[in-house]
This record gives sequence, C-alpha cells and structure tokens, in this order.
Amino acid sequence: MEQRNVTDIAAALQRAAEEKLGHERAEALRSDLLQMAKELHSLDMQTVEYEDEP
Amino acid sequence: MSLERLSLVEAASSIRNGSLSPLEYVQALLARVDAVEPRVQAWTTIDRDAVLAEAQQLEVEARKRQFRGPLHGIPVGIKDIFYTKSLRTTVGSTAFADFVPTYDASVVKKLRHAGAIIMGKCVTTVLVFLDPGPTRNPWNTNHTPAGSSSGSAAAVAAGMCPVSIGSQTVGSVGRPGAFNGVVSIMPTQSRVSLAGAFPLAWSLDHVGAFSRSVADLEVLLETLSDSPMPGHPERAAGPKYRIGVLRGFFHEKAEPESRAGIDSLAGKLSNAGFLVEEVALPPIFDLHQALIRTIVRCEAAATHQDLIATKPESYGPKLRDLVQMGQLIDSTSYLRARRIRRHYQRDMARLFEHFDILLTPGAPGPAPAGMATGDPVMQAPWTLADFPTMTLPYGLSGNGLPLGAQLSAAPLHEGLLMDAAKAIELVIGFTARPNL
Repeated sequence: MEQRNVTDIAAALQRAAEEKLGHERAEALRSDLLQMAKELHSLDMQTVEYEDEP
Repeated sequence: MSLERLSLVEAASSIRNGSLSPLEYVQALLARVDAVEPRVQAWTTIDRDAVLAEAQQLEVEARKRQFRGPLHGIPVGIKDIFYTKSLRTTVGSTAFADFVPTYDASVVKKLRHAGAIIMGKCVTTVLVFLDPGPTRNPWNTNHTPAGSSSGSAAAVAAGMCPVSIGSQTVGSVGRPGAFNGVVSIMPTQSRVSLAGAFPLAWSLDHVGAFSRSVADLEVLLETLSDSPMPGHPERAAGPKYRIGVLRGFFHEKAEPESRAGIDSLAGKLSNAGFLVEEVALPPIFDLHQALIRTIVRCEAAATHQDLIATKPESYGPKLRDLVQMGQLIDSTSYLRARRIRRHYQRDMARLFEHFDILLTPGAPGPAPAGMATGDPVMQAPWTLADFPTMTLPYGLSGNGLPLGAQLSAAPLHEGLLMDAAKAIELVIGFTARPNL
C-alpha cells in the first residue's frame, strides 16, 4: 500500500468533513483535523504484522 | 469521631458489633448532604425515602445478627451512568433527564447483594466526556473537581458517603481522585463488569471507585471483583516493593510543585526501605496519545451515532467535536490503532519485569481554577495499557489543594497494587480534609 503523508490525510479528512458536516463546521474543525491527521500518520508509520489482531 | 468521617472499614465493623445503627449512620450522612451539598453539588438524585427505608430494613437484620455481606449498612454513591432500577439515570444529559432503568447495573447488583445502601446518583460530566457538570471541588469551590466522575470523588471528599463508584475511559477516576484528595482505583477492565453502564468507548471504559483509605477500596473491590485478587505475601512481609519512578514524559507534563512532590515522595519511600529506581519508557510510549485519541474518537462516534442525530442539543461542545471527528476516521485506521495497542500493552508490561509498581504524579498539578475538568494526561498511558492504577493524596499545594501520586501495577495485579498502596499510605500519612 502506498504510504499516505500528513497533507494527504488532512486533505481527505477535510473533504470528508465538508461532505458530512458542512462547510462551516468543517472550517471550525480545521486545526483539530490537522492534528488528527498527524496522529493517524504516526500510526501509519508503525509496522503491524498479519498476526497482530485488534 | 463524627459519623461522616468514618471509613467504610470502621463503619462496617461498628455495624457488625452493634455499636452503630445503619439508620443512624445514613441519617448522619443525609444531614451532611443537607449541610454541604448546596456548595458542592455532587448529587444528581437522592431518593431519601428509599435510602431511609433500606437503612431501616438493614438495621432490623443487623439486630438479628443477620448480615447480607461485608457492606451491610454502608451507603455508596453511584456515578450517574450506572443503571439503577427504579432510580433515574441521567448520564449528565438532558437526553436522559427522565430515564428510569428497569434493572440494576452489574456493580449496583453486587453492592446491594453485599448489603450496601445505594445512597444516590453522583454527577457525571455530560455523557461521560469533558463538558463539565455543576459539581465543585470541596477543597475550594472555585476549582474543578475534575471529571467525568466529578460527583463521585467530591461526595467522598466532602464526607457525604464513605465510598463511591466511578468510571474511567481516559482519566476520569485518577484525575478526580487527585484533585479531590481521595484514594481512587481503576482496576483492570476485565476485573469488574461494565454491564449496565452507559458507554463512551467500549474497549477503554473501566469501572472505578473512590474512598478515603486504601483498606476501604480493598473491601469494595473484593465485593465487585469477578475474579480473586491475590496479593504478594513475600513483599507484604516487609517494605521491599520495587518502585519504578517515571520521569521523562511525566515530568515534562507536571507542574514544578508536582514534580518536586513526587521526587520528595520517592525519597521518603527509599528511606522507608522501598527499592526505588528510575525507569525508562519503551519507544512505543510515544504513540500512546495518537492511539488513545483514535480509539476514543471512533468508539464514541459509534456509541453516539443515533443519539447525536436525534438530540444534538443534548451534547456539550467537546463531546460533539469528538464524535464528529470520529465519524471521519476510516475503519482500517481504527483497527490499525487497536492492533498497535496490543504492541503497546505488551511492551509496556515489560516494565514489570523489574518493578512491582510504577510511580507518577496523579495529575499535572492541583485542581485548576474554573470548571474545565483538567488534563487527563497522567492517566491516559495506563488506561490504554489496561494496567490497574490507584491515586493517593500525599500533600497539599501552596494554595491548599490536594496533590496526588499515581501507582500502577501489571494487569490483574490489584492485590499487589493495594498491598503496596497500603504500605505507601502509611509512609505518606495524609490526614488533611476539606474545610467545608
């Protein structure tokens, strides 16, 4: 799978927020979404194996 | 000693030997509620008639030397997220203002079976997250009692009941414990059933409890526990517990007064014969905030999917942000976080190869002024790891508010944790109480 970078993740989250919550709400959450993108990216960078179950 | 300061152990023993009447005890606590509740606001609901009727019945049984269990005649406060049959359960929200469950949560059932009196429902923050309820800190009512178990901790600190039940998803037991100057415990998740508790995030929710002594929590947890809690006889024979002091992240997040307090406590423990050493955290620790936030967001989004759509006005702003952000995370990211959490738990558990107990501050500092519930940063690593964790008050800050120390043990080692906590409690000798 191609690695996502923080910018890609943040952009995808922002688009999803616009679609689900509307423009005004998506804008209000912008800085929180960027922080969340950084956190999701940090998890993407961690190796998991097939045998690692949730 | 006035009845409102009796510990659970003292009250239970006095009821057993006939020197204390359950009715007299509960009447004294209700009088204490009348005196301090207008300032503390720890309770959502107290059904006085039901409480007095139950106390009367328990008194009749006690006179006949019939005791239901170790909590016979002991009033207990219940966080208002645990279902109580015929007693409303509001979850701190207008959405449940008139909700009256038809059955008891598992913990409530166990408490009643052991002879406890359900004193009433204690305030939770709105829907168990960070938006505060009305409760004030008994030590200074201009300060937060923390949350989400705000009322449960404040009621015990204010002497309105000897013990109470709370819950923790991130930092909702340890932080109120530290801010209110009481003893708290968050056991391993599997030790105490959450059945009949309103959830926030299923994989992280834990039952918790508050008291004014470790011995009281031991009795309470033995009553609630779904499995035995062996201690550590060899260590209990002398103060030889191996204490790992965590600095690094925990020092950085602590205020200077709290850092100095924990260092001083570590010195006292060392002088008292405990084996105290500094511990280094494993590299995966750096991911703990990303992990717990991702999991809480996703699970809260699922918990609230229907309710936020139908009753958005019943949400506080912080929970609304959490749920809406969780709705944007894809399922593979959530499952990735759950899978990495297993690595985190495994790597963190290795700390106990060399230590019995890990010591950190219970909160960054004393309770902040205002109603915002404070930072759960000291609890999050342990809730994520599912390590049983206690807080103990160890002193007062410069502004007269309590400071708490936090102790963690390996999963399901609550017996060892409480044995060590009792030994540490003796070294600390904390006796201060709020001046209400």
